[in-house]
Amino acid sequence: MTFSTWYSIGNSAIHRWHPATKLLFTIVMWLTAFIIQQPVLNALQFLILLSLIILAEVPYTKVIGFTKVTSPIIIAYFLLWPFLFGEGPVLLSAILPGTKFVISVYEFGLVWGAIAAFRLATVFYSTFMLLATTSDSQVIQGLVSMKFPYIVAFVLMITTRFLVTLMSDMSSIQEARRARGLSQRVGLGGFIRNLSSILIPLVMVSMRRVQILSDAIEVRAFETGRNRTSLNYVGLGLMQKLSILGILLFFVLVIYLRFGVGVIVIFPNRI
Amino acid sequence: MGNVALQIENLWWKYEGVETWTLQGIDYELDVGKCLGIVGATGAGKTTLLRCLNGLIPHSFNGLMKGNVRVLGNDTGEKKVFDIAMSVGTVFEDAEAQFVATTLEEDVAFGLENLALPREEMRRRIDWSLGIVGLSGFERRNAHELSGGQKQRAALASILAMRPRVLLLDEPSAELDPLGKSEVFEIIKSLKEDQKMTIVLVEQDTEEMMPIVDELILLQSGKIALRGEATSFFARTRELQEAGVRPLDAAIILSDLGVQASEFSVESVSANIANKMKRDRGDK
Repeated sequence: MTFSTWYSIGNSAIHRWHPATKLLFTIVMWLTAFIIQQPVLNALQFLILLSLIILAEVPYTKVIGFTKVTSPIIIAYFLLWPFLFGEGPVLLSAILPGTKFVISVYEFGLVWGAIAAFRLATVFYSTFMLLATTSDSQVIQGLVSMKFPYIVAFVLMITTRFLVTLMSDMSSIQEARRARGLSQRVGLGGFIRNLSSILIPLVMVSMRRVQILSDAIEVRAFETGRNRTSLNYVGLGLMQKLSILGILLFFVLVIYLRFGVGVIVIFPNRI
Repeated sequence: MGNVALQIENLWWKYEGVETWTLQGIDYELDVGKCLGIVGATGAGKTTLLRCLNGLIPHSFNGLMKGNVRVLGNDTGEKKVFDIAMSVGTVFEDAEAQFVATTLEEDVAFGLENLALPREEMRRRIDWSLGIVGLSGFERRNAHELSGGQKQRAALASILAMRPRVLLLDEPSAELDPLGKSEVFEIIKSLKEDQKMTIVLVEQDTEEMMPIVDELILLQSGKIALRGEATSFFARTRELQEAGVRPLDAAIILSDLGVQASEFSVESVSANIANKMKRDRGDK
């Protein structure tokens, strides 16, 4: 089992941001990605985010690894909309061979596909930037700074890490299935049977893992409600407070431009 | 009492929803500074016994417990796991599953933060514990990018930083390659000899545990089926094999040659080989 984590140790300016600032930045990126509804601006937001990842000196291998995982989803999302969004001039129309179905690609669908794809990419890559530049303990520290109870922040972080472990376990189980020559069944029934043959061992493995982790945490004197100290806790300095203010101002500006002035929206009837 | 580290009196334990008793009338005493080895097949009750020593049983597991367990004079049934954790450290088989933080430094600090130690003291203990396990300079390394042996040493450092007087090790080499195994056992040996720690070592690799342990018990269906000092314990090749434990390679070879040693010391084995050779010559 390999436990993959996106975090890369570094000393860039983004690594040095306070975790609370980074968490807020990530949340604002997610929200603004869905408020901005203009392909050029959505693309610009994504490019700025990519520049920040480059500035953070995240190793290219990790960026490429993340891109390999997420790009099929983003591309599929982009390709889906031109067929589903039936508005605007038809750019292409064809009859499905052997059927009477007509497939049409709409111009507005293409534009919406671009918006949707850049939005999704912004959500993925802003999360990646957070995970690549912030260790688990720093995320907890950030959440605690934002007045989350320690236990909530800790459980949230442990759960997130556990999901990554589960994904890794799942791929090991799939590999084991393939190594034993088990073929993938087709159809809905086959899909359910495929899933159950993976889920049963996955549940067993994860139950064992949860038990070890829970025991390990307890024997290291973890008890809710007790006072604890922190090795690396740093309070919010003036620069960090100013950064938070800047992020919030950006958020308010985007809301104003979309809902007040209406300049960053091209399909007002859609979110 | 002063010299006794572990005192187990007629210990019985049954997990909730299970018919059979996982531990059945265990009695044992271990002196301070000694190393006890526990061997047994899967399901013999080894991990359950460790859980009784670190207080997870009865505090975190539902079931029925009879008898007493005292560690350094503290009744584990009465003391909280938090209090026991200050003097008893536990390292589990799966090193990776034990990590709660990303960097080594943060992971070692987790237990110390729970003890609410001041930052300077934490730094001192992190440096000390990583030094003991040979991972100085790895403070900012990602715990998940270490080799198997390094991961297990890191897990050990996280526990050592809490300065336990009793160390419980649950198959610490189970998932390691030969190099990783020898790294981990070297450290366990130095903890026993240099730090004078009381150690309970659950292990399947009898070859590696032989030079470390002072006493051994064989658990079979929750009972102590065999106990003794390492030299005499490992001479019971047949009993160990029947219980699903791999005896020492040397013991198997001697057994195959028809040499029966009652003790696994150089003198005893030499004498038995000499006797066997005499007998063989006499037969001819």
